[in-house]
Amino acid sequence: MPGKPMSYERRRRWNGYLFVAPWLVGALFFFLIPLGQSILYSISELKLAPGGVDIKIVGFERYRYFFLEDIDGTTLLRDSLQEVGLQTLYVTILSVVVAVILNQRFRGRLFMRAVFFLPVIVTSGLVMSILRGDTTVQALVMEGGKTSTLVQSFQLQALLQQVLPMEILTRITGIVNNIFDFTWMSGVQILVLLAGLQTIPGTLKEAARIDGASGWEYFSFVTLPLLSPVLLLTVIYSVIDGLSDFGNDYQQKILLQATQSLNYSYSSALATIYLVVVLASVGLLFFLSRRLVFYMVD
Amino acid sequence: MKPIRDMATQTAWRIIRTIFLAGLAFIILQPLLFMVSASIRPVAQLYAPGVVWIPRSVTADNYLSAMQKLKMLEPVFRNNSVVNTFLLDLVSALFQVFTTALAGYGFARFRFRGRSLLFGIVIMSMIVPTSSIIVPSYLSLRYFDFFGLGRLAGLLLGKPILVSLVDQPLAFYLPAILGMGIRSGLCIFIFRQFFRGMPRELEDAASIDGAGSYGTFFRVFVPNAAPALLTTLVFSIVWYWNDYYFSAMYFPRFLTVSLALAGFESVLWTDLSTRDPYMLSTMLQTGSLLSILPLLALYLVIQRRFTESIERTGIVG
Repeated sequence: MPGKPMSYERRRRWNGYLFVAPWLVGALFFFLIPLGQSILYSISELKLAPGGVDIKIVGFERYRYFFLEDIDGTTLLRDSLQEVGLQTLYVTILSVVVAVILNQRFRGRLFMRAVFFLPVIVTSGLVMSILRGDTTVQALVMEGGKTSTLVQSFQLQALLQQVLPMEILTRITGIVNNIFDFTWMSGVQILVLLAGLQTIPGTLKEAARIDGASGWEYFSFVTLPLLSPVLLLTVIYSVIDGLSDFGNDYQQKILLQATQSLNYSYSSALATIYLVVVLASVGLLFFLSRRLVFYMVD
Repeated sequence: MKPIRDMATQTAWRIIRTIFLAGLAFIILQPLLFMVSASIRPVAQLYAPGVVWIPRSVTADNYLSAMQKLKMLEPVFRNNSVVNTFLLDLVSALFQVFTTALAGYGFARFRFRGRSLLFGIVIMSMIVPTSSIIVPSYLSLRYFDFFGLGRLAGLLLGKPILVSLVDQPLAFYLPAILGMGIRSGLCIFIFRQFFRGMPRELEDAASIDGAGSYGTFFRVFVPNAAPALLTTLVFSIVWYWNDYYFSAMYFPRFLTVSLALAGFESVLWTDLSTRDPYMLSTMLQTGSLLSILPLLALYLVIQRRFTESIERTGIVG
């Protein structure tokens, strides 16, 4: 019966459009058109007019200005990218270690899980800065009273200075000082990695043990490859999270240009450059990961 | 492998593991517990010698005062930050979950032309930093033209029909119901992964029983999608609750908890009675705690189910 299945399939095809239709309207009006406009603004002269803006295209002047003259801007961009890169690296390592440990059996495991997922719900930058204790008032008060600094690293730093080169040392102390942020940033990653770890069948551990693999060998030859697709997901999540964080310096510059200097065109140009950079870095990640990610085919 | 050495390494590992976990757990819990402790003690005991965690006496004054200053006790609902935020948050989150579930299902279970291109747009919308489209997005809601219809009508009437959605909750609801709210892309992604993993027989059986596509979705798939629904709903509630940038942009006057908290410090500075740094610090701690209290309560209630759900949504598979 050649006629009937065809019509069923065709009906299903139309139904597919029906299900994505509301999203499609939103994507068009709240994503694609604004995206196009943003790029258009970046090459235009804008004038606020009743009911929107008047646009006159003037060319790529702002891009030239950014790359050749705006030293502040290019530096901020480079620093922000570098920061996101390092941050992703540390967060990934930390969350893999924590997830592997939380996947083991020990007393209080459920409690520990609940604690490590807590940061997932506190994503507000404002509350974070108060938790971190770096509002001016808190600094003022801390000075007189008891400090609750976690690591008093001055003495240790002086000791290490004699053995380690300065550059490595500053990096290490940087990590120690930022461990608070890294832990608070890792909630979602730990959650997703833990979910990934639980899909690895326990029988593999038996088999590895019978073959005489040590714990470390099991981790690097079994756990890590099987976890790699999830790991890629978390790395990309961290990168996007870092790059779209409004707190980073480059984003601040974009916002300041729009809200304070009221220079929408330059803000749009900065944003477009950022967009290209972000897309390129995520694309690069996917490309690099093709060799590294292992998919178990069933 | 010698058993004794094996046991020694195991014990060593156990010790290292405990120290490591305890240290990190301390990093997470310490500021939260300190917040609780600081908020219930009289201001004079903040950093008083001998008082670190457990205050000598307990007071509710800080809460009352912080709630007043954060406009959480306003009798007029439209001026009450908590009422505003609850309503805004729940409606937006439900809208967002509804539409992204539909879209995720569409992408997962139907073949249609342009599907991969459209799903590529979903991925793009996750990656593109919000700041790159912030100006045109703002303008499109500041001068909302009913998706072009208002301007079309303008050609006939000589004057376009434009409405400002600034300070209207609709500025949040509209993108949410159209699947372009806060991180909607991630929700679509989660739903797609989840629905893809469900057996084909479900659809066939429903179809044989005479259910249409929508019937199949609402009566067969949705009831079986509890983990994905819970995950996306909780995430959406959290994102909307914590949002500051969109609220700051669209709501110059409409007050939400995060906006009230952002202006909290300057409110405290201008009030003579709270100008003292100790008072300020206590107020800030209390205010932050108040602002995340609903989320903490939500987390305590659903924590167990939530973590199980994430493991079953197949974000991973």
